[in-house]
Amino acid sequence: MGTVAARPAALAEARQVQPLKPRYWPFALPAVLVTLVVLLPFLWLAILSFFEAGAFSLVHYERMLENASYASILSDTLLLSLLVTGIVVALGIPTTYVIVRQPPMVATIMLACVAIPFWTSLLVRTYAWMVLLQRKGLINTWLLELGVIDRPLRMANSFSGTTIGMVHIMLPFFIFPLYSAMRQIDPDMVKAARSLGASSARAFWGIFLPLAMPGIMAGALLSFVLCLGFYVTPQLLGGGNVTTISMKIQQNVTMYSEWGASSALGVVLLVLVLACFLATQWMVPRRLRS
Amino acid sequence: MASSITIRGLSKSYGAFAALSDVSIDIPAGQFITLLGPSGSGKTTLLMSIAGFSHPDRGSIRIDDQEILDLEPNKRDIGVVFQNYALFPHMSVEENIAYPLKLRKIAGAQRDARVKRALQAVQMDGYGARRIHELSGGQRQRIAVARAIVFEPRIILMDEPLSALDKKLREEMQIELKHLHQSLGRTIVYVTHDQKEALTLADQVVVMDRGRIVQKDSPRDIYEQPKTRFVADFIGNSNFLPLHGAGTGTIDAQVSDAFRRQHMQGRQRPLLVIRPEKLEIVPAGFREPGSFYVDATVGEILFQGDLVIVFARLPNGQMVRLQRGTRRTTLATIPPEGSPIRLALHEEDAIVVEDDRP
Repeated sequence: MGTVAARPAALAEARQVQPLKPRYWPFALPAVLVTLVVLLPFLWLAILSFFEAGAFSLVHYERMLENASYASILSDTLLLSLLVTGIVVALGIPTTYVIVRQPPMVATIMLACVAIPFWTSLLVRTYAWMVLLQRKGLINTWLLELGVIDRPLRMANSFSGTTIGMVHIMLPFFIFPLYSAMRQIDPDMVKAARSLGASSARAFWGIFLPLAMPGIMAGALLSFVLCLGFYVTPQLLGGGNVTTISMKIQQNVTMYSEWGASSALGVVLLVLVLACFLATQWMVPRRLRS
Repeated sequence: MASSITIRGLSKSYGAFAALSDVSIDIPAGQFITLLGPSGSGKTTLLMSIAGFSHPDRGSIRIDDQEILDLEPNKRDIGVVFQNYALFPHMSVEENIAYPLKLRKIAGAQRDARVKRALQAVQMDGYGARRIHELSGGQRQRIAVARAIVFEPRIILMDEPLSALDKKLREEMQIELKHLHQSLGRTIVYVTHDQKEALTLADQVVVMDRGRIVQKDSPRDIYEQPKTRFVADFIGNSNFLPLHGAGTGTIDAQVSDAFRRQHMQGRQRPLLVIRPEKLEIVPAGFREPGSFYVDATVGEILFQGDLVIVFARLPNGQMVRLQRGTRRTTLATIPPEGSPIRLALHEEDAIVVEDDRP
């Protein structure tokens, strides 16, 4: 009897957060260090954004509202991020679904195919896309020779080229979290739906996809947030025709030494990211969160 | 209403492993059939072939007179209860049960009425608005059953639906499922590896081993007239004593000539199967005709509350298990550990099978 009665009490105790005993305090040191290293510079930048010539000022934020170029940078960044994330989601869901349905051996090989580019340097991959996409690049040459087009497509140095390159780079960030989410869905769920009368399409849309939604949201959020702050690919593949927030930050710092203006942009970027995070938290129902 | 299932020559192999080999079986309309066997015996493959999730290499499955092997699972009109229930966590209890009705375009008052009736049938009336994660294991099990019967399928398949429940709840649910079967009158095919469950629930028990059906009989016949050593061994805790070769010396067979003719002659290697509860304790030297006798020494005695298990050692070292109730007067007849004991098995309680093991 004693052990039976003691068990719920022990469980309740385990759920409570125990204060850290003094002899374990040294283990908290790395956490404190990381917090300092991450938080302090950011706070410093945030403070910087509210000062101009040594005095408190909102001039950096006012400039963003007044100067039309900032609005277009912001909308460009959002549009690019949304477009890339949208394509990544559209390509990633069917790809991941196919991988999940393979026997373990085949799934591992397919995941490795996703992972190998992921491990390759970002710069290398971006230059590779420049080679493929340029006027006399591989894709244009082939399409011309096959007679699909009669003039070379303008893909490098443009918004579309940037989109293509970024989709390629973002796909693994979407596929990996989605794969682990889909793996955890009981295969009997789809079977149950089928036995109850659902066609395979209905079972996918009505049962499998809603159950995969937390994974889809997590992957999409990761991809979107990374896009918002992306620098290398838009800089190289955009060829000056695409300006994102991070490129503007870079310009402000290196060309004009405008730390205040850069910091203000950084703050805007961070607020955007936090807003996205909270929005997805709110959109995924609590009972489906892992 | 209820439908019959006719299976002919069903085979399925995964590489060199034969999950089903040439399985044929007739399941009459309205019967409760349990498929019983160890893991890997093919029982789940057989069930999933009927449901449409496993694709046999050869053979045919007919429901009434319709061949169903070419039908998609959603066209088969079969309700399936899965081992882990497979209830949809993003829907309420009500939405789960209404799902098959929604797919059949049954709407409005009729849908509500049928959901309510299904909930009543599993005694979960009033739980419609609950979320799945708010239910206990037993409640989930009931909802899974409700969802499988609400669209009035011609056949209901169950894949070890009670295996996740604790023993007491499992026994309660067995009785409820039996009652549900009686009130619905549908054909039910039920997979289990629990022999007691198989015997309790079924009109007919189908025992499977290595992809084959080894015996199909009523629960009583399966227990009392197993046809092979495998069935005798798989169901119940049987003792095996060879009635051929060197082992015969320990057995004093005072059985009738009719018994010998019917059960022992014509067998290559007859093997005596002794159910532990059918053994009697008799006085030393007792030799009335009509029984098998063995002399042994009492070994370990295990008290289990409702039962007492006694292990007796034969002169050749083999252990024989016997089982007794725990009434005071019954316990008094069991000699203490180390004493000699003479055991009798009446020929009407005796089972003889062919010893097919080397």
